[in-house]
Amino acid sequence: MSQNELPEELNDTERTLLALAPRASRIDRDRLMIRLGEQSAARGATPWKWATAASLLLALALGVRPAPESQTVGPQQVATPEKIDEAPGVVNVEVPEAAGSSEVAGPDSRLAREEFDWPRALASGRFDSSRPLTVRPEWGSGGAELRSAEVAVRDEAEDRRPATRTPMLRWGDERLRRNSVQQMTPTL
Amino acid sequence: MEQAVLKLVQHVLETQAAALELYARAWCNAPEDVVQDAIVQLARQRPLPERPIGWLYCAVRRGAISAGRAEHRRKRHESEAGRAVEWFEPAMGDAMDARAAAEALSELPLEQREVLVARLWGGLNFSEIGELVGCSSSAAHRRYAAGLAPLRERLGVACPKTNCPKN
Repeated sequence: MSQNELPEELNDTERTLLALAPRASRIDRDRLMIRLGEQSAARGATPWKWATAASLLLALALGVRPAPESQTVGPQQVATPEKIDEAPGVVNVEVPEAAGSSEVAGPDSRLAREEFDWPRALASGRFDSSRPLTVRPEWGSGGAELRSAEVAVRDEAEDRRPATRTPMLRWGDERLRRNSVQQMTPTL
Repeated sequence: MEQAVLKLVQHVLETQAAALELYARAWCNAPEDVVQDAIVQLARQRPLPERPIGWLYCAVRRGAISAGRAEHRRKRHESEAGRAVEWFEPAMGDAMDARAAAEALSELPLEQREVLVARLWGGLNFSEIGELVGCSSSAAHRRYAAGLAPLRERLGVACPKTNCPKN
């Protein structure tokens, strides 16, 4: 008889007992599956938690980083008068130096020069009717500030103009253009 | 959840859950909770145990002993009478009376009873039972035989040679 063999009478008892079935399990399968799902979700969420934390830290690090210092302005290409002449939309006109004009520098004199320049451009044949008249800002000063000041002064001057002023020249009016050119073109 | 784990859990529920509950009943009165906890623990294992059924019996044993101690402290004076009748399904035909079998089983010493349940209804071999209860396989076999003998006398199983009850 081998080690694991039983006496015959015990074999019969064994078979009889095996005929009994244990009472059916009372495990709630739904509850078990919910627990398993929760456990699985808790395990699967861990990498996402780490990734989110890392992204948040990176965003914070980038957000609170001091702003880079403004770079030192290196040699810049400054527009030379020749280049400015070729720039589109710029009316290059020669402004005659009026006597004492340097002393009268200011918004009013600039306005006067602007009003004076367009006939000369017209006479020289370089007037571009499709573009608005522009006044070249003085180089070396703040261009934007100068431009805004000019606009403000121009508006002010418009308001101060008398109502009896001569009607504005319209480019489409050929007759008026001819007369104006003849009358207003200074001797070059 | 991984597909392999889900299949294993389904297999355990279909084939072993009832036997595991019967096994856990040796120590506690709420075996279904113990078995459920053991199945959840099994699903958490990475990698899965090589012998998951044996692993489950170990986990159920530990959990049932722990639960039994807690129950004992909580319900020290509660009567345990009448609980054994629910251990087995009602017997059919010539099968042994389920109530008598449960009562006879409950009167066995714990070390014989757990070996009997693990072998008869759990399907473990004596080597696995030895690992489970902490003894050698031959010791497990001896406990098994020692547990069957009083059951035979108590339940009056007919002797196959003489075709008459032993006693």
